[in-house]
Amino acid sequence: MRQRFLDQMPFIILAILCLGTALMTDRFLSAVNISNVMLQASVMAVVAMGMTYVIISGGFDISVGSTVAAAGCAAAVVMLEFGTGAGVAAGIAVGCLVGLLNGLLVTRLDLNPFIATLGSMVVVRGVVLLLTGGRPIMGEEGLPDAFILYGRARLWGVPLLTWTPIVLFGLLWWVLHRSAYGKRLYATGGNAQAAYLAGINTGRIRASAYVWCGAMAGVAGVMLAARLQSGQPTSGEFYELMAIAAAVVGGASLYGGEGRLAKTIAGVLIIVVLGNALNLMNVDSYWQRIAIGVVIVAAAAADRLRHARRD
Amino acid sequence: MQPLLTATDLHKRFGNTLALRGVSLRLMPGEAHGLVGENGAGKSSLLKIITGIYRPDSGSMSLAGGPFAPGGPDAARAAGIALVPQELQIVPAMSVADNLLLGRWPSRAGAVRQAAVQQRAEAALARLGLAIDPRRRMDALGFAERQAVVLARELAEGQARILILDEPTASLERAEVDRLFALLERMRGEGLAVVFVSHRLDEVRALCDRVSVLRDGLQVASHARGGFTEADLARDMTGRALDAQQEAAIRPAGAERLILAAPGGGVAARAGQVTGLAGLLGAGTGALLRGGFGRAGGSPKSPAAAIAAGIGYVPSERGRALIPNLSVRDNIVLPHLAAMTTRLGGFNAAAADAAVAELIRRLDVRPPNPALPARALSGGNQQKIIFARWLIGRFHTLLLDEPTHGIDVAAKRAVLGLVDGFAAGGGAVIFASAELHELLALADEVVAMRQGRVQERFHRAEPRFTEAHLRQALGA
Repeated sequence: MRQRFLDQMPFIILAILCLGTALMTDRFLSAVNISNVMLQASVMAVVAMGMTYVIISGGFDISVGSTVAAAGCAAAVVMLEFGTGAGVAAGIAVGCLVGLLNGLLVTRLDLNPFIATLGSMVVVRGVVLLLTGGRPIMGEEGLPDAFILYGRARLWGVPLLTWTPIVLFGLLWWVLHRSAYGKRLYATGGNAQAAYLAGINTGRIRASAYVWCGAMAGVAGVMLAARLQSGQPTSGEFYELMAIAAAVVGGASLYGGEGRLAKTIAGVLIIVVLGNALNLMNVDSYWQRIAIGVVIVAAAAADRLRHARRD
Repeated sequence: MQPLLTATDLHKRFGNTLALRGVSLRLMPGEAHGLVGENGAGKSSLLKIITGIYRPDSGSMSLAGGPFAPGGPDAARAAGIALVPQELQIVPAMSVADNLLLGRWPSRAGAVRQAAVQQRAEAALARLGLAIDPRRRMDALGFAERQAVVLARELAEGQARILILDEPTASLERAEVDRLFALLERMRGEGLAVVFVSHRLDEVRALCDRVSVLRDGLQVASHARGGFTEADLARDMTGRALDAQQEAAIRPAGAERLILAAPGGGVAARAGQVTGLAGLLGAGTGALLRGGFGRAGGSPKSPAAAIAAGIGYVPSERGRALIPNLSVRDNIVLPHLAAMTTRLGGFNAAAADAAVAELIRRLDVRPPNPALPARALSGGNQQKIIFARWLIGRFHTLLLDEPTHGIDVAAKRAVLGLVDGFAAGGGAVIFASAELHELLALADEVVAMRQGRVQERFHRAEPRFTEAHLRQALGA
């Protein structure tokens, strides 16, 4: 009973947070604000879902912020030359490439994931700044209209940018919970040696998780470029921390083998709504950082509590 | 003489489970007291009450005549209760001396006094007559030496009156067991009482003055030295008489399915037969089996390739093969995911459920719930799950590394039954075990290994097919 209650914790906290904010300020439930929260959460949600894959596999990726910037800039550059479709594909491809690089560093060279992705985080950011000269990419007449439309249009009142994580959630959820690959991923993160003895190519599975994560960071970079109507070489900073925080707040274990997409989304929303609530209540933005930090530590402590009960 | 420790009518309940239902124990100074029972019989609960980790729901204990109700592990330790757990608590990257004084390093003004550490460590080792250099790193030692260091640490204070050893011999070689027993003998001469928890009934019989048998949270029997046989203990533990060891008929040999190459000759897996692999620790039996499953490079080149070729493997440590958070079902079907995949890449849950339900029934996995996480099952049932993997699909060869290690008598019988059944169905088995009587009961051929080499072969048809001959070949 108690275990079940703890398992639902992210959703309960989110509900309480929303309810409390709605009671304390009437602006929270306004259409404008909800739409704003959704937009903020959308890009983060895509990054965090990819991160959940890596964390389930027993890894860690702090290069996603840089990857977001790289993908956004690559998308913008290619788009100006070859059109919207090619640009979007290029952005996602760059994300996959960084992910593949991370995966190979971690599995082939057997580097610690933190160190390997710390390295690629710095290198990728450096390359982006070098190639762009640190300037935003928008061309002389701006990015193609179709792309700008993607960043602004709505379907049934919901921004396309918010539909993106909804559709991806469906895909990623199916892969994680309904495909054989998903089982291999959980098995590898839960006990890599046992998975290997069961005939699973654990190196390939672990590497593939980084590719998923990179691909999602690539999608997020494209989304962000659409929202900002340009490729921004300095964008995406702190995304890695937010994505890891969201996964942990959502109950993913940094030891691997545990994590759920829906809870990661709840984690994203907790962080975004918390920031939004403090904003609406005119709390100093420095306090927001402190509050988010406290939430992360509290979530990690709750995780420990859960494990302690189990043992 | 006054008993050192008495426990009277201890009860302990966890949720709906009655772990102890009235267990009493009397321990005399200098006595070696055996504690045996199947997994889940209540041994660990009893130990945890004595060592202050649990408090009993009812019942009482007394120590040297005074009431004894330790509030925690520290209190029990201060009262003179020392514990050497199965999983040794050590810091591998620190020196032997640092491990001996773990957390109690003598210091002045915050600085550790190195000379004093060294001196006290030497004294602690000398007290037990151990020739281990205290400057060596802990991870440079073998298991027996590590265990000796932990023993020395627990007895270093000189105030321990009761020493509890939980399955201390499970990872020891014969000679090391003898050395440990000699050491315990000497400490007992100084008045130390020893509680010896073990699945190895022959050792219990050799060491202990008195044996208490637990079953389902009850103390079902208590025997004095010389007044019992191993069969008596096994009967008390399981509540039924074990079948007399059958003289198994020689199974007809089929085709050679696999040959494990080793210096001194190959070890063959033959269809319909069981090949036993005997060797002391370090003899290379484990490495040979690992190689056969593709863990050492060469051919097959990976476990995946071995599985594809129809070879299954049960490693000596269950933790190596199970994924604790995954369900029983998922653990069983793990090597078969490719075969249980739909055209779209989805997991075919219906096929998995059907296969697993049948296996759970056939192997009598308890509790019979495929959705439970594997960590929730007892050791014996976990072992059945690992077996179950290789009973799906067409596996013609099983490589088993100590499959009965650390599981209780009933589970052992179940596992041995599975091996026998697999061979009867035409499967080939290579089966390594430190328990020679198991090999002699089950195998058609036993290959004795020594220092990585095949030393000698024994066939069931030969009169030499005895434990004595086998032991000699192993160098025991």
